[in-house]
Amino acid sequence: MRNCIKFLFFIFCLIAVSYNNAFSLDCVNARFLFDIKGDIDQPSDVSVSQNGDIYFVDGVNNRIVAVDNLGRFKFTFGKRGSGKGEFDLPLGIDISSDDKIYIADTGNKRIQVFDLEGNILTMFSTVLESDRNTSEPVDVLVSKFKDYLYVSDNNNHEIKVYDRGGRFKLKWGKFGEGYGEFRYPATMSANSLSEVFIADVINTRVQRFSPMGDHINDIGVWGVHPGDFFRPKGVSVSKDGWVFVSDSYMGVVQVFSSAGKFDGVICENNKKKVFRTPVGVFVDKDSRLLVVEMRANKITVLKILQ
Amino acid sequence: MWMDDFRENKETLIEWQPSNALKKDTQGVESSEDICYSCHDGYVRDSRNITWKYNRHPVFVKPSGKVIVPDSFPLSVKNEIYCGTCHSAHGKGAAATEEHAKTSLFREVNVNSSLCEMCHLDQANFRASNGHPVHSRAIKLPDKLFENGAVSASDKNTVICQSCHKIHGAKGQKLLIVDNQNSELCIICHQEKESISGTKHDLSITLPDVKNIKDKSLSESGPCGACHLPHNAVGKRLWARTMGKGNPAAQMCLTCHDQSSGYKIKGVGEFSHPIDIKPASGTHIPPELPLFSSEGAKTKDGNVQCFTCHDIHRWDPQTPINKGGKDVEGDSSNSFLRISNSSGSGLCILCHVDKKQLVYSDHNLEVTAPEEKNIQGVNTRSSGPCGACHLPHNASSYRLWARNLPKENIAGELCISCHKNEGPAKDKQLGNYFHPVNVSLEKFKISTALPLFDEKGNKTQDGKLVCMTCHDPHVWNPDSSLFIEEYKYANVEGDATNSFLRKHNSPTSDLCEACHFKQAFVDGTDHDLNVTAPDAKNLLGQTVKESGQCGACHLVHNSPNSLRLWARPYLPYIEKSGIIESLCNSCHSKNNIAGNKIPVIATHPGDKLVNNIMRCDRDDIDYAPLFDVKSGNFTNYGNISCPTCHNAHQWSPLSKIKGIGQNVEGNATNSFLRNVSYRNICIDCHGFDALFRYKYFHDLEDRIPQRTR
Repeated sequence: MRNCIKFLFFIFCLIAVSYNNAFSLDCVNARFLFDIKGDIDQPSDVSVSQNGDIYFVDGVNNRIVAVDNLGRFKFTFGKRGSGKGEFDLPLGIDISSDDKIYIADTGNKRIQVFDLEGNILTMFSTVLESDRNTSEPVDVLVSKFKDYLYVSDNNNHEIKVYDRGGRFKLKWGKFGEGYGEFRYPATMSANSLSEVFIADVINTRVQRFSPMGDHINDIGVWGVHPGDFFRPKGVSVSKDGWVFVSDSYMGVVQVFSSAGKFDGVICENNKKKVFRTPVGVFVDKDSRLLVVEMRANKITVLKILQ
Repeated sequence: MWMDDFRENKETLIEWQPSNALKKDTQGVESSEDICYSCHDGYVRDSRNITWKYNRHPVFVKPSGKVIVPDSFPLSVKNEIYCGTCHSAHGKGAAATEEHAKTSLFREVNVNSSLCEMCHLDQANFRASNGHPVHSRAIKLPDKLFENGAVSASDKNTVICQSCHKIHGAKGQKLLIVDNQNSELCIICHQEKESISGTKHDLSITLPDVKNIKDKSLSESGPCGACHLPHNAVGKRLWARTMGKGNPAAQMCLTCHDQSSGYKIKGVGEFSHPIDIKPASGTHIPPELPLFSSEGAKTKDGNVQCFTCHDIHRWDPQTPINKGGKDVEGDSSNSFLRISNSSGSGLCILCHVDKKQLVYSDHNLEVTAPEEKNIQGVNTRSSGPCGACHLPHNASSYRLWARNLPKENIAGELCISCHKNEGPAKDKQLGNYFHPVNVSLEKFKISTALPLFDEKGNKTQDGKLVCMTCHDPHVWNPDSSLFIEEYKYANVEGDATNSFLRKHNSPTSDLCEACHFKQAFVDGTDHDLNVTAPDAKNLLGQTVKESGQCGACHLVHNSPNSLRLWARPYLPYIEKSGIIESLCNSCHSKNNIAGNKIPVIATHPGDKLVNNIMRCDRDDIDYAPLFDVKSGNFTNYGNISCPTCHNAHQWSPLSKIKGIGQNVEGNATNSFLRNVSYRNICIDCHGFDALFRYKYFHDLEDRIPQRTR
């Protein structure tokens, strides 16, 4: 009888431990700092200047909003249109190390460049003769590698590379599911090696490329488990090489190594942090994670704790 | 794969939600809004500005009772509308022939908003539901409408649901393409109605607390919505307010302007311009004054309605910027009239063309009595010529009379309201003796083509003779179709050719003839003074040319004589011959115009020797009237006098015709004799000797031998 009781207790403990293991979540904890809200409409992407000011794309309002590093409103620039400094549903933003703001002016099929005060410096078209479809640049990435500008053209399923003067250099990718192919490439980020990480939305992965477009590896697969993607949209590589990927449908930001090893889900107090349609993400030099919550019309700023 | 993930004993990043089953009899999330947005956020397709900006069609709600969702549009397991109700990745696509049909993965082809109409049947069947027309092209739809997001129909100017509504990204409530809080959307197409803003018909000014039939306050409905609903209105014209029974076109206005409405605003009064009537036959209604059906639809074959004269959206037709205002009393230049009615009553006269001559006559009080005020206290400078006597609303009596009147005998008193001692026409009164008025012609056995009037002033065949029987107060000269060129905007002394007579009475007696046709045979005879005494003047100093033939002897107004309204001086009666002969003698006497036509002898034994009971019918050939000696009235017992034998108005009893216009010497067969047969009154006493006596009555020589014979 005693043995029997011992056996049952063992079984109970085994089940309890198994259950706990089955539903324990790998967390990358972060602490909520503040939200950036206001009269904004479905923002998409965010970046940070060298002095810590935050710039984000308030796309449906066809403008860029600048706030300070504590989220206090500074100014906006841009309005709807096709003229200089005007936008048509822009999506992507990146700020170079020399504090030039690069905007993927999607509807106008161009990249516009501004200074930190919002004065336009230059712009160039992303339309190429070889385009199979109408160019739709959804993000722009400023790389230290040859001062290249990477533009994800999600309607042509290509990555187009330009120099800082807007001169076309090279491109790669096509519609497909293979390595180096895309089904709607979205946001991009680069690590310290200038490797390019690209969210590949419908292929539910992030692809890692050399600066010249050679495929290195994929991060993530289709699924709803931790480490899987359903709609990966935002990608940002931290200074120490961690890859932060947002999933707009599942409402999470997940962290991977550059090689694709899943590290955890962004959590608060070990509980999954749920975002409302997270898209563009940015990890700044102070390890602050900025998450654009498109349908919540806000940017959530968190401090990464580990 | 998903299902497998959820079935594994592992943490998932999203929860398994069996309740998230959307499509009936299926399990899945494929039609959830988040699924749609996961691609349409710009990173696959950018529908943010279309679908998720502003307002969009309600989802995850049960369809209201106002719509019928067909079976081909599935609801969720909760019987709610969801994205997949209208959309499906396997939708039908656009109709191949329709350039403008866009799919958006619709379940059914959406040509000219046909998809909307599959559920919103009431709105599609707008005629039955009193809704804004669709599939109609009444106007050229302005570019601004499309700039604001309207979807063009296959024909650009055809109104469809999506002309006003956006299913996704609607800036206004009720899925309107723009905010319509102040009727901005309505005004895009109905720009001409914008002028209502700030006027009394902008109910936010005059009746700020009222609500429309949907119980919407003005702040909710906007200025247009106070009176109009785009769907399921009370009646035609998208009417949004309660309506009384009767002609809907008028009831729209009477919603507020009826005395019983309870609103403290101007009503139309008991006596108001008739509405819902056809224009008088032959009346040309100019395009500026549209006609409307009883339902309020503009149509050339329509009736006169309130809207015919009033453009209820514009206070001042000449100066749209002039809005009037809550406390501004309108006048004939504004008051939402389509055309200013001041200075010439241009509005009235557009329809009442036959009254236009009034403007060029003494009856234009704007000229002859500019300070005269109507019952509303408005002088004729402001009221216009018509407004001096008529008010389209709140008149004092029938005929829309604008002056004070007794309650009875309206028709007889209309003219008197001015032509009296205190009236503006005090110099043109009837005098002591004048032609009978307010009498029925029946008892005189007279029929006439001139109009007779009932007490309300309406023309009627069995009515009475009133001033307006002979006078048309709007037409100075019956022979001049429109205006009098020589009229100098001053009091003009009239004569028998004008003076607002319905027919001229000179040079022929056309007016009098209309009733007294037998008497009009006098024209052209020796008793027509045009023939025999054109320079002779009557008691009013008028020559026959001025007075007309009749007026030479009879004064219709201002006669000093009651007897036959005699127009010439005559002596007091002589007992022997009687006063009636005095009238004859006023000409046929020494030093008078017929001094050369004085009978040598005209005697008959005196006293009441004769009776004419058998000969007192005016229409009989042997008519022989007798007259009271003193009064001159007809009598059946008396003595013969001139008119017993003579009919002063007819030259020959044998010829019922007018004279030839020459002074003719008569004989025993004419000479104004009534009868030239034996059947004259003389035979009653004189037997067959009568004709002989009759013939030589005035012949001294032949008469005496007869007597001595």
